[in-house]
Amino acid sequence: MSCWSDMPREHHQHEAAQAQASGSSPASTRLEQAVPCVLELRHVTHYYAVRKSGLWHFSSGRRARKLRAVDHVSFTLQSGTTLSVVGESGCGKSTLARLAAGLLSPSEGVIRTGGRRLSSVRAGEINMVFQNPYAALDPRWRVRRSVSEALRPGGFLKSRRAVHDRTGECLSRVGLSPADGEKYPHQLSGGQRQRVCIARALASSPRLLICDEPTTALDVSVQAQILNLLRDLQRALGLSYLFISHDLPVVRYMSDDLAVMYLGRIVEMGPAESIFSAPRHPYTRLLLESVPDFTAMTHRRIRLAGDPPSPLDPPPGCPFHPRCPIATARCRVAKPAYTQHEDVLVACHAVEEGRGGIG
Amino acid sequence: MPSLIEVKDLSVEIGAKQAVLLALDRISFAIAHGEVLGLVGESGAGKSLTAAAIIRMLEAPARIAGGQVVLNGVRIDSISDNEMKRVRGRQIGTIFQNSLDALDPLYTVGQQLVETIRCHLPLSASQARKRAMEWLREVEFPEQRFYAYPHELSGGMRQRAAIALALCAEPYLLIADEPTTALDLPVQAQMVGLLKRLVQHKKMAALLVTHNLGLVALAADRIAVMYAGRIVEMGPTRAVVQRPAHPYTMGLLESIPPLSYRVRRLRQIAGTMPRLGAIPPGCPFSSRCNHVFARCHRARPELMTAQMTQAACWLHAESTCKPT
Amino acid sequence: MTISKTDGPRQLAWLTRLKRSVLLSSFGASPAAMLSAALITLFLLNAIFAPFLVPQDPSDLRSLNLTDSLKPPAWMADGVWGYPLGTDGQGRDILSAVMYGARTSLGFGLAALALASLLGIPIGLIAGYTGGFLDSVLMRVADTQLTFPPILIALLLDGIGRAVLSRSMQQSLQPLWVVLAIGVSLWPQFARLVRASTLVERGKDYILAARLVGVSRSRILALHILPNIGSPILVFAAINLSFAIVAEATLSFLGVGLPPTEPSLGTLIMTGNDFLLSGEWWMSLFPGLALMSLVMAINCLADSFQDRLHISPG
Repeated sequence: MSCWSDMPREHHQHEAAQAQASGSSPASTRLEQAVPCVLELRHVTHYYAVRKSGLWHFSSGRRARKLRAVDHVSFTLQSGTTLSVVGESGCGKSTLARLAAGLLSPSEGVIRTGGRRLSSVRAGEINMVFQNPYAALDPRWRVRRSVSEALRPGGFLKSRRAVHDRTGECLSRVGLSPADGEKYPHQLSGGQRQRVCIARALASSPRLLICDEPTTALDVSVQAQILNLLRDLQRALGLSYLFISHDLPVVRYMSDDLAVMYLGRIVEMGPAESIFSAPRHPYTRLLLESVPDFTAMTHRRIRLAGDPPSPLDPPPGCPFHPRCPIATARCRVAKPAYTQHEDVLVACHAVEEGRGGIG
Repeated sequence: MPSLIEVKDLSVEIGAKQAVLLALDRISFAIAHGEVLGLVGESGAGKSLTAAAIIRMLEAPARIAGGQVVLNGVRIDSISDNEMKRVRGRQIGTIFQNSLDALDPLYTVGQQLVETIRCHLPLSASQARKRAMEWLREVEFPEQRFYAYPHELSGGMRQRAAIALALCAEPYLLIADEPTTALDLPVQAQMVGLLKRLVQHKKMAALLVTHNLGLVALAADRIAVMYAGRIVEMGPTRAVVQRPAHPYTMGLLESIPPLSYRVRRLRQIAGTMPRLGAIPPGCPFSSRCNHVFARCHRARPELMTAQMTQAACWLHAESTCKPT
Repeated sequence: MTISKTDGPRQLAWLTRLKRSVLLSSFGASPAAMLSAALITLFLLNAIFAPFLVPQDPSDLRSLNLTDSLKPPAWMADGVWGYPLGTDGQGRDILSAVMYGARTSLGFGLAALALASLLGIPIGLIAGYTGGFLDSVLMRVADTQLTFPPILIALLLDGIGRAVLSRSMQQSLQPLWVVLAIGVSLWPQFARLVRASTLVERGKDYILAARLVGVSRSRILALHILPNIGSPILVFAAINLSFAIVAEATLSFLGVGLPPTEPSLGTLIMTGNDFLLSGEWWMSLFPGLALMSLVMAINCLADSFQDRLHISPG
């Protein structure tokens, strides 16, 4: 562990000490304003400019249409916990991941980490594990070099020896041998590559790991290995995860908190167990219903019909109303605001009016 | 009910003279009319290779090394390439992983359906058009989009059109190789449900190749689990999913997190599937199995009756001295 | 863990890589590729050792014998074996001239290519990676130049050189100017190819991962992107080498290329051209054959690389 304490983590320790002093678990500190959380989004909106393609367009964006990929998203992620973002493809969850990682800057709104603006954090303090381990490693670099890439530019490890040791330590943390470091990515299996990617993410001593569908490209038996590895690392290193996925069973296994996204907006958010055991928003309910689950063999009709509408041309009112079985006239004109139901926030007129049942 | 297709001891080799690897080792199964057989396994298990071998579309270094494939009483593994081409178009419909590319972007969905129908069935243009409309209704594709180009359709709609395209020549057998992987899970579930309904309704047989156990449980009547080029367990879907007999199937099922409750910790199968050249002698799963004993290293188990399924595992041999 | 056989000591890694290299294995792919490789090796050896191999130094005026002028090839009636491919109007040995000419052509082709890649690759990398306004401007410049045939650009540059520079300066700078003209006429193709490859590579996750930990833009370009787009660039460069050689020959044939004091294959064809009508065909034919085989060999080899690397034509 000594190697892990050589990076700036006073903040983190301070936080943990505070939580201990007040005798509360990290989960219950969520409402305490004094503790800066690992990630805080305030009304974050991101537009993509969709240009009409033409021969002479300079990028000034004349006649650009705005695609609102992320729409007024706010949440906080507490230290040492996992917040999952789920939704169908195109719901904006990957854009959200890139925003939180600082790879994109939000069009509107603020992202803070530990009370500071995202732009002022040390490079690598927030790191990322990507979906496709085949594209996430430079095919021409030995994996040791990829893992140690983070250690050189930051310069917080001076000697070559220290870099070498730290790289080996990261590799063994993820269950690889230092000898695997001498291999090229094409010599490794998909699971081993994803382990390398996790090792690389750990090398920069992050506080927050953004996992963008980290097991989607993997086989199920390997998926279990990677998920368990991520949970073990979280416990051992006090990491926080922003976990992006469309796979609800995986999300249930991984998450403390859950945010359900639809067309760029969060429609339901709260502790994962509350949502999984009693989903309120019609979209969450239909999404949960439509998961093929072999543990419940009863034949179910999938009622989440059709595809989400194009984010270029979102429907007025509640974005879900065209596919919602209980939409009313109000849903077609007015955007629902968030209402609190126990510990869950829901954006739905029907839930607010107390007619949430969808049969 | 007699089976529509019967695959017996199908083996596939890969490689040249110096280094020949057995990629498929005596695969046998049969599918009856109106039945969906789910072929599941992890990548590299040989499930796609099985599908390709049946329709004789193996890529160059791979070739059929033995066994027979009988479709409707005809051995299609020994007929000429030209005859096979006709069989593929007319008697076997296929949907591949990149089925979204199955549609030609230059023609409307309707045009492509009509053309395919007329190519295989002796129908006039107007009859074919009527038939195409019927098929679109079958796959719940909105008829008013008959003249839509593929790029105007969503992923789910294109998938429906691809299914209609594969089935409109009314084949006996449908081979769907990871047909839905590119889609969102809810859409995938709809699609396999649709496939199942169509297969039952049209009394076809279908081989559904997928890595997703949840999907296969939704659509298949029977499941065959593949590991390292062999079928290690086969049986009715409910039995395989709820009372698996092979340690690999058990491990596979346990490594998928359930949706209905939260497990404390996922069981995981250690290691990865051995590469083709490194499959252990005896039982191919012996290197990762928790229940391994001496016999597993010595002899290869064939499928044998075990509880409610058939499993290739010495644990289920009648007269074995089982480990305590 | 499986240990593959290729995990030898580090020093030997380059050797194993060379052995398994796609480019090398493509030699064995087809007889045509093998023949081309042999021909190119021959031309390269000739380029290095020509001064030691030639029967007669064409630039050494003392070795010329005017009585031997306009001899036909050795197997013809008047031919002598001292001049296997015959002689020109001044009694110069054609074989020696072709050997020197091939050397000059290859050298100038390579130099022009180097200039084109030196311009095109960095421009393409920067345009592709930064995007935005800079990308638009750079690519519009390239597009504009692409609307003219490269040979026209080369001619135009040559004309500018003649107009701007004094006659003596122009003559001494002429070889450089030819390299400049061909190199500049070729850079847009390079820039476009590199930009397109960079755009693909830039979006890959391993680049994002490097950005996340604060790797600088120049490091990303030099250490990640450039090595990973190397193969298509190599193939493209090979195809364009033959173009550069032909372009130089064309310029020389038109009389605006290399001066007769430093004859390339193009110059030789041009000088022989005057004698074609009077029946002394060997003076043009043999340089022409040399040019043709060189260009065809390069193209054939580039094609087989391309097939092997599965690169669609740029």
